[in-house]
Order: sequence, then C-alpha cells, then structure tokens
Amino acid sequence: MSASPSTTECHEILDRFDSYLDSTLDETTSARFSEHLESCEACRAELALAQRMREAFDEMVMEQCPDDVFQKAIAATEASQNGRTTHAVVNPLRQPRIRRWRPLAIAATVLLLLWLGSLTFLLNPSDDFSAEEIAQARQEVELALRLVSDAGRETGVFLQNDVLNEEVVKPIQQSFGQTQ
Amino acid sequence: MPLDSSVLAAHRHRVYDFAVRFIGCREDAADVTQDVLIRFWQQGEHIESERRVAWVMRVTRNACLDLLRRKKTREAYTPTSSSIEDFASTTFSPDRLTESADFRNHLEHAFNGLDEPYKSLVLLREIHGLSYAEMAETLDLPLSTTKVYLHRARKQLRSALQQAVPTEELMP
Repeated sequence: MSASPSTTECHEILDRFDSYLDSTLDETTSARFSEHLESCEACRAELALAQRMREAFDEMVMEQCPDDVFQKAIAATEASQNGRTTHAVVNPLRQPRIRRWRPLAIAATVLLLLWLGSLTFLLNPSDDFSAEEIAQARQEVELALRLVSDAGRETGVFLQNDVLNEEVVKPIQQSFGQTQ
Repeated sequence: MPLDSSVLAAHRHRVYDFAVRFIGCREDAADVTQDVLIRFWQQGEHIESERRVAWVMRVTRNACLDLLRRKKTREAYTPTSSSIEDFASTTFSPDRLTESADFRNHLEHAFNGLDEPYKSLVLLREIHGLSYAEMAETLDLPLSTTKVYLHRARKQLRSALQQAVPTEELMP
C-alpha cells in the first residue's frame, strides 16, 4: 500500500466498510464513499483486501462431519432411548482422552524410583538403618509421591489413590513408621 | 419426544466444521460434535425451530471453550504449517487452490491468531452465514456489540494480513 488512510473521510469509510460491501448504506453515503474511493489509493487498497478476504471465505467449503461420528451419536441416543448406556453416551467432554501408554510410563517411572529408594535398605541386610539412609529414602519416596500426584492431576488416572497408595505407598510409609 | 435423527443430521456438518476450525484438531472436534449432537437430541425439542441454529452454535462454542480450557494450553492446538496445508486443501474448492493458496494460508494464520469472541464471530458470519441476530444470541451479546465486534474482527484480520504479507500478494 502506498499510503495509509489518513483523512477523516478515510476513517469513516474504514469504519463502515462492511456496510459498503454489503450495499446496505443509503444511496447518498454510498455515492460519497464511491467518490472518495476513486481519489484515495489507500482506501482502495483496503477495500480490495476486504473484498479478497470475503472471496476467500466464500470459497471455503464446510468441513463434513465423518459418518462414524454421526452414527455414534445416533447410536448413543438410541441406546439412551432404550434405557441402555453405551460408551458413546458418556460425555466425551468430561472424559479426557488418556493416552494409554502414559499412565503406564508414569507408573513404571514411579515404581523404579521407589525401587531405587528401597535399594538402600535391600543392600543393607541389617535392620539398623542410619538416620541418613532413612532421610534419603524418605526424600526419594516423597519425590515419587509428588510425581504420582502430578501424574494423577494431569492424566485423571487415580494411580495414587487406587493403586499406588494401597499397594506401594502405604506399605512403604508404614515401614517407615515401623523403622522410626 | 426427543428430536428426530434427521434434525441432528441437518446440523452435524455445521457443528463439526465450527469445532474443527475453532479447536484445530479433528479428533477433538469429533468428540465435541458427538457430545453436542447428543445434547441437542436431548434438549432440542424444547427449542423453537428458528432458534435452533443459535442454540446449537452456542453449545458447540461452549464445548470447544471447555475443551480448550481443560487442555490448558491453547498453543497445543495451533495448527502446524503442514496441518494448515492439509486443512486448507480440504476446506477450499480445488479449482481455486493453486492461485490463491498463499493468501488462504495467510488468512488461516490471521484467523487462528484472533482472540475470542472475534474468532467465533468471523466463523459464524463468514463461514456459517449466521445473521447478526443469530450471532448475538449465540454469543449472548447485544446486537450492537455483535456488530462492533465483528467489525473489529475483520479489521484485525486485514491488519494481520497487511503485516504478514507483501503488498503485491495482497492485491487480487
């Protein structure tokens, strides 16, 4: 563009571009705008761009909903009507899609950390743990618990409460309680 | 009596299209579409037929916003350049593809950069052809505000295009 729209009339036109393009301006205003456009290169350029944008939008073809998506919705409504519940009835917006590998990877990482923490005790066959060893193991378990907590928040999988807490964390915490 | 499936069918493409363009991910758009259609089926009978488009689009937009909010980072859904090409190739008529592909890509980028409610307004008006009254109802805005916002949205698009694209490419 060789110049920017600068006059008061330029700004008035820019503010009413859409009406001008929609031909919804009254005749007098429209004629005045046309006259201005003939003499103002900057406004002509703006108008050309606005028209081109409209053309590009007009050329857009609506995305087609895949048949299987529609069929699932229909199946869900039919199942609901018949008093049955299918997976499709479950509101997908409230059921975050969880990558299957993710909870497993997190669980594996946490278990590895716990195992590494417990190595301290395994390598020392006696029941006589030093305060330093206990502190180190406690730190590692706390780190693991934080990871589990973060993972639980992020993935919506209740690893901490349902599995790890019962099967891993509680027994270890209890063992701490016993050794302290 | 819940809605007939033919009524759902009449709105499915509209819902899916809005969701795809708004979210930028077909998989999530499919989930949103399914959810919206089920809700529409459940509640549509209570909505006057002339207000159904606005109702459906409002529910769709809210579902998209919910999804994006839950996913936290909207950036994760910003289409990559390759997905934009893929997206563009399926959303424009093939005969005009070559001559205006660059302009369309720039327009897509500019559109993706719009904030709400401007993005929704552009989608509803330019792609879905809703009236001002329908847009106002969809976004729960006064009619005058809707017009002002749409005007601002178009102005932002033009401004973004002018900044991003060489002048000669902008001209038809």
